Amino acid sequence: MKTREITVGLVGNPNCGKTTIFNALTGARQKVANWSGVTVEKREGRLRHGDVSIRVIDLPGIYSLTSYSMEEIITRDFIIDDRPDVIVNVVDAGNLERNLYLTTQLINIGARSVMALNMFDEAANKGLTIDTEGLGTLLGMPVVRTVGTRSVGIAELVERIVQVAEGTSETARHIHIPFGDDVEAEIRAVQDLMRKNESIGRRYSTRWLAVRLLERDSDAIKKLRAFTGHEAVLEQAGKSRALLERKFDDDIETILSDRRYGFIAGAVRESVRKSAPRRVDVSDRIDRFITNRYLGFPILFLFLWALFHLTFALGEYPMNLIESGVHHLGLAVERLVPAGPLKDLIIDGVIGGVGGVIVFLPNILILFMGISFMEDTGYMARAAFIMDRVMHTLGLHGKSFIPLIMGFGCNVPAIMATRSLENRQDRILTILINPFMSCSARLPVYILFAGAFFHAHAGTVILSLYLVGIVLAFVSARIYGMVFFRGSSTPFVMELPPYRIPTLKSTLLHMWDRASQYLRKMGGIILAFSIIIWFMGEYPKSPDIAREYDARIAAVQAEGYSALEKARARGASSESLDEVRTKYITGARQLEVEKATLEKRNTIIGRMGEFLTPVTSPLGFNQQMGISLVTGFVAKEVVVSTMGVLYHADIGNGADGGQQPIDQVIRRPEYGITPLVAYTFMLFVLLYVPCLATVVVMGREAGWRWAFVSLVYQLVLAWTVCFLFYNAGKILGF
Amino acid sequence: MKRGDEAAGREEYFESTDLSANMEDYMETIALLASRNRVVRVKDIAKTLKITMPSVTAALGKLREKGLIYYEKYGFIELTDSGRRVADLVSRKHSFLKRFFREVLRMEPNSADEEACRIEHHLSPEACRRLYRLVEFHDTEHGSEREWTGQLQDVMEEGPLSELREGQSAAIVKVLGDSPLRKRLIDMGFRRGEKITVIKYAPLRDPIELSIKDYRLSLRVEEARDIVVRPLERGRHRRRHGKE
Repeated sequence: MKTREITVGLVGNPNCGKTTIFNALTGARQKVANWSGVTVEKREGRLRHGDVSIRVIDLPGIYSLTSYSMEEIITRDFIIDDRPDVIVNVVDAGNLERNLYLTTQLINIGARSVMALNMFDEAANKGLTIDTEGLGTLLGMPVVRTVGTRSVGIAELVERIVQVAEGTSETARHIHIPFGDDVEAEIRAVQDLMRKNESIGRRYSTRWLAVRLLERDSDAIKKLRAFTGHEAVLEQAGKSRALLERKFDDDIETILSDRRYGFIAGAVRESVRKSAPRRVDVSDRIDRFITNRYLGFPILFLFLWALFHLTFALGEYPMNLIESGVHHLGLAVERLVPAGPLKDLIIDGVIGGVGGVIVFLPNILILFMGISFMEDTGYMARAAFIMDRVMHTLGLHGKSFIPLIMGFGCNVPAIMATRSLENRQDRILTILINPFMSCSARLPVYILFAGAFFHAHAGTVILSLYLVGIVLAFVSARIYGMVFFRGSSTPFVMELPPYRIPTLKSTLLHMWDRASQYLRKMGGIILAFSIIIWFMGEYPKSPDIAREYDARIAAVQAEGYSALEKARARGASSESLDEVRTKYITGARQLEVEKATLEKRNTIIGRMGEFLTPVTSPLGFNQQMGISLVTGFVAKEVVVSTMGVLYHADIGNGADGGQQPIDQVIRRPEYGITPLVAYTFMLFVLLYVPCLATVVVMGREAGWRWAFVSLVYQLVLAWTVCFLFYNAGKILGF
Repeated sequence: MKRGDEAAGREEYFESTDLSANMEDYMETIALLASRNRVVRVKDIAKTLKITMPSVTAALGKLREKGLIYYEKYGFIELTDSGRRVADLVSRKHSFLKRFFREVLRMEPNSADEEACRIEHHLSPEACRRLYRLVEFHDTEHGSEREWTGQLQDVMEEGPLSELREGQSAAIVKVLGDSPLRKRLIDMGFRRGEKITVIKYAPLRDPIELSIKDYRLSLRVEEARDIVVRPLERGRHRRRHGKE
């Protein structure tokens, strides 16, 4: 028998458990993409039922099918343009009236639907008994009781889906939501004019379009404009609207929504019986603590502290494992592959690059476990509720808080965590200012410089950098807000869903989902860029310089030996012998630094650093600092290792014996780093381009245009702030 | 405080006193004290109006010049016939204005009194007459339980959602404005007559947690200002100013 394929769209309010139904239907057979042109997630999954293959598309959670949000337009266009065989309308049984509002619009648009009356166990606990047969007959669609989290009712749901798709359902029929005689007359008047152009009726339900036109829906008007004869229709719609608004002394949205809710109230009256709740509502009791005036903040900070520590402290163990694994892999390859450029490429470029990608995985997995827990329990909404007052003064949303805090650990998972924000503008703003939250990779740079130049005050200096980051984040939020999102503050209509116990399955799916997305969508790009930058940092090689300097170093060493010999022959004291030794060792070391700097300078990155000297020298940075800033684009901790190479110093990994520790080397007067320069440098590291991975994640999450905007903005900001700071410091005599 | 023994025509007759607001206050006070005590002294006036004795003395001089009071230095104060007429006029104005704020606009007794004090000196005789008729008309209609007075009462109780206290319930009257937010709220079930309860304010007093239909929702205070509601328990409206 031939397999048939049917397409099913899942539609429902936010918090109705739509995702649990989707997971119960499709399991892990999901793929995630974006809807074309927008960054709203599109999830697709598959399942089989007998000889039918069912393609399930999870549509964004919406309250209505009007067209003022991206999510609504997506859902609507999907229903109209993609013509799915069946719409599964997921409805929260415990919150029937509001959920049915969307149902009335689905009926109006003429979609063939099956209703999943979800979380009916919760409704039963509230004391609600719902006559599904009766409700189904009233609404003209089969109604199935489900509990998504426990996969209850899923088999029946699939059964009904197939029946409706094949037209064998007894309940499914097309009904009209009655709007009352006056409104109906006007709908008919508009419809009649539309019928003059038959192509309209072939494409859209004329009744639906007529209602939308009465409501002055901009998207519907746009759709109609594509047809000839639209002028007359629009004129009639305008006349009808004015007539109705006059008659009922109200605006059209209210008139129509009143009629819809009237119909719903009737349907609910006939099919729902309410008795005493079986269980007391625990949500209110929990909320007495969670959003308590005095306990709310301490509890929130406790949660965040725990989340932060789990993510970044617990995450450090697997990260170390990954790092040492990568290191050992490198060693193994070293033994197998003959020396040469290929070997360098494999070990430092590829293996190093892969390491740089997967090193974020533990963080991402743990963070999203925590976030999924917070979202599924309903705590996320409470956290936003508590924090909104603070965040709103900064032009942000209450939910921006968590991604910003996570940014102190690592900006990569933090930016991915902005997905909790439904509103695009809030989300982009939160992403854009996230890099100012000083991530843990910047800490080694601070530790090195603050330790070397500020000794006892190192702690205060580092703290001041974190604070500068926070202040500039808020300043930047204002600037971005003024430039890009002027005058459009987004409303804070946020549901506070009842507390629920999360299921392991949904948490695991969530983690898996984020991790696999990270690997597939971002990992590749990060890897490619890492290899390119590694290459730029190594090539072209400069054998002449190496040869020349090796010869000179050998010469100095030889000279040193003979000087020592001579001194010994003279019978000099051990102090003066030491003096001679030190003199020549210092000379050789100096040559080593020159060699490393020259070699690095000759590479593409080095040339970029040199090219940028006119830009970096007004900030008081020397050449080595300039070059390490360029290499620091890959990751901030690379700044320190580059300095180690350039200064030929020990950066604490015990690589070469005999080298001096870097914090002593950079203090040498010949390099010209004063405490003022050091602080300026740390400021620059705080503010300039976040690491490569962050830029890629920004591009993926917000769009490349925004990644670019942020890149330019941060470079300009870093330079300006550092320039002002350095010069002010100089004038003040530091 | 309706004085039924006086002729209706006189009740309704308002004329200009040609006095400044201050002076009217003096007249009112003197009449009040005269009805309460046997004699009126400068000290009593100063105490009632909370001003210094020298300023009272100065003002009394002016009132004497206008022939409204009998007053000798260090003596008692008495109203002349024309003075009594003026004082009567001022206090009638005050008392009906107070009724207007109290009974028609449904304000708290204390604030009704304050408001009356605030505007009584600034209304023209014509405005007073018309306003007086409105109060009287409302009074008789209210007594015969006309529907409109009840409606008016309800309308007067209406206020923004943002002024409800924690735990208070209200019926939605309308959502103001023409924003996407309004559309969304209508979609989410904010319709006329729907019951809405303020569950709590966030720790920093903003946003507000609300319960409507069978779900919980949070809105910022500034957004809740655009939602007009009628509190279900009467007279428990959170007041912005004034003492409670």
